[in-house]
Amino acid sequence: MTRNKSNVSGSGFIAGTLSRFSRLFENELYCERYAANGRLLQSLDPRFKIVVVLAYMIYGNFVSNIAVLVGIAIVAAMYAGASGLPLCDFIRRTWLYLPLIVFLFSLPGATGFFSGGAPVLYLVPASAGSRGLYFTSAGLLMALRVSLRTGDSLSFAFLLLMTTRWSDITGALRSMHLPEIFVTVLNMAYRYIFLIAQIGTSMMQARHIRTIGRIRPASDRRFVSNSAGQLFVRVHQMSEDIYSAMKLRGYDGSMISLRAMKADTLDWLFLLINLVIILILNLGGYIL
Amino acid sequence: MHIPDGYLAPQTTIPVIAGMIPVWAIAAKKVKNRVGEKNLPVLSLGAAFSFTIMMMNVPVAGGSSAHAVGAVLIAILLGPWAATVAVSAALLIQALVFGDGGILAFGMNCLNMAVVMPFSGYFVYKIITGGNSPGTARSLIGAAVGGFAGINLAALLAAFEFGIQPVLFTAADGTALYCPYPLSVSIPAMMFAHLLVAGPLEGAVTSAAVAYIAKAAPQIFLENQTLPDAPDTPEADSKGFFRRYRALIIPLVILILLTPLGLLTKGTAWGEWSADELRSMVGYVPRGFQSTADWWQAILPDYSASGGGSQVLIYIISAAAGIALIALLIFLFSIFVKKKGKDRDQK
Repeated sequence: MTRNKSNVSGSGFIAGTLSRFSRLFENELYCERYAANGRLLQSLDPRFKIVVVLAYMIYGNFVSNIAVLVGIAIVAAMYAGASGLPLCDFIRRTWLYLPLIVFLFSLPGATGFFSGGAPVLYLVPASAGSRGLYFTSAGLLMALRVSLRTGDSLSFAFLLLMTTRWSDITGALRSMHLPEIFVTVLNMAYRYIFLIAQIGTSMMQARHIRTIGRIRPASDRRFVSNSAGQLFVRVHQMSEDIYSAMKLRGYDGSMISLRAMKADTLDWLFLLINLVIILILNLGGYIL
Repeated sequence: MHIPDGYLAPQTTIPVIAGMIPVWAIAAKKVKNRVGEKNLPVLSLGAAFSFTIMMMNVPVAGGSSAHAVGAVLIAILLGPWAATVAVSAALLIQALVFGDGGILAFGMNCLNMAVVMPFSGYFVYKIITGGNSPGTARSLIGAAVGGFAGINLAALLAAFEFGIQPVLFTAADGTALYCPYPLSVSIPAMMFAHLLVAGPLEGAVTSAAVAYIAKAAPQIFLENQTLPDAPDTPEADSKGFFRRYRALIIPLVILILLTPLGLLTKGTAWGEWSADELRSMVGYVPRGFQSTADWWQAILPDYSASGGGSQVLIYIISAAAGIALIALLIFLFSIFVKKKGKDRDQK
């Protein structure tokens, strides 16, 4: 939850926030660019995609075999390639941050303190009266397994988001009996996140360009808290206008999706192929 | 505090998702009655606001920064049930867009940050504030203590969720299959950071934001509003809970019933049992399973050989063959999809 940044001019936290906001816009640009390119995953019914993605996530979280976990990662990468997503970018965005962090956080658990087994790497050599500090092979495998599971889940979640429009994801969730209020909230929230992020970006930039010298962290904290408060006030005013606009356009409390979802042979074939892939992976786990 | 997938066993995450379903259903009903249709945009924008709050870095000591969760703030503004809906929606968008928090761990993250945090924080806020209106000194103290208490209780629960993993799920050699840290490590590690840094920060942000809103737009607080009762939708009236959500409940119940199998298979990954292990578990080996095992032995006769080099080679060949087969399946399917797409365009 914490992030080290330079606090010169009190701008480190602003840079951090601006970088998060820009990642949000970058994501949306990516999604817009790839979700409608008509390639492999983009052509399929979102309901089937959600089921398949969940199946890989559940399967990946149950298995412990490193080879199978690597296999799941390769399957995700293959789907990314076949769906026209640039592979280097896909790997950068899914594997080069969170799985690495998870691996590093798991490393203390890979030492002899928490994991049994033979030492493979001594950090502090053993001496008289001390066993020393070392990584065990079983411990390192555990750290690798945990980070692979994280990466596999992340890959499939990213694959779903990049190949499916948000409204299709929520439409699929609605047809899978997610309560209407959640679907409405998800749809509206996703739409207004960008607007709110834009307002937030303007606030942060305004502060950034007016900041000279070093500012006390307490003053910065007050600024962020006031910004949050001001953001909510603006959001609230906006919501009243939105409700009036919705009412004028005939909103009666129920949600109507313009896209009718209809499964065809391709979708069933997709389901079947993935079942076969999971069986192959499982057999692979039995052998390897 | 956003728990990613991989740290928690699905035997714990899936039952929690199932347990969260009635909570979400109650929250949806309460919010409809209490917040009303008119305030649905407020709720949606509350979710977007919650998402944005979690993106805003706040400076802490030593030049580093952290982010607040804002669940208690939303609970104070819109009520705890509305906070459950708004923060759950924000967490789902975060999990999909940023990968902050896992998909299978979504239920756990919601339990911690969308249920325990807003309810406990709001409870503390109400006790301290009493009958005073938002913006008074007591309400600001209440908001600060509520924010502090809410995030710390949520962190304690998360630490517990981490800490039970090595007790419940270990391999035959004693190594953890999921999070390796026991309660004696996870609780101090989580609580140290939250009691000293994240908790005071959450309290300060909650209190200052409440003070600002109470001054700038006091009508926003739900307790300052009079709302007409929202009519129930026909869907809610005509069908029972099970009938409405059976498509969701049935597969979840099946999954939950299957999850304890993972507990029975100490040392072996789920679904990767050998014939002997299967015999010891269920008393016999299904004929199909035995013949498949024999088939693998037949095409890979050196598989069980003890020779180190040849075994490694067999492993590599098996892995390459499996991956090639999967690649072929995906490639053929992709060609088929392309052809179908072209046919569709021509029509």
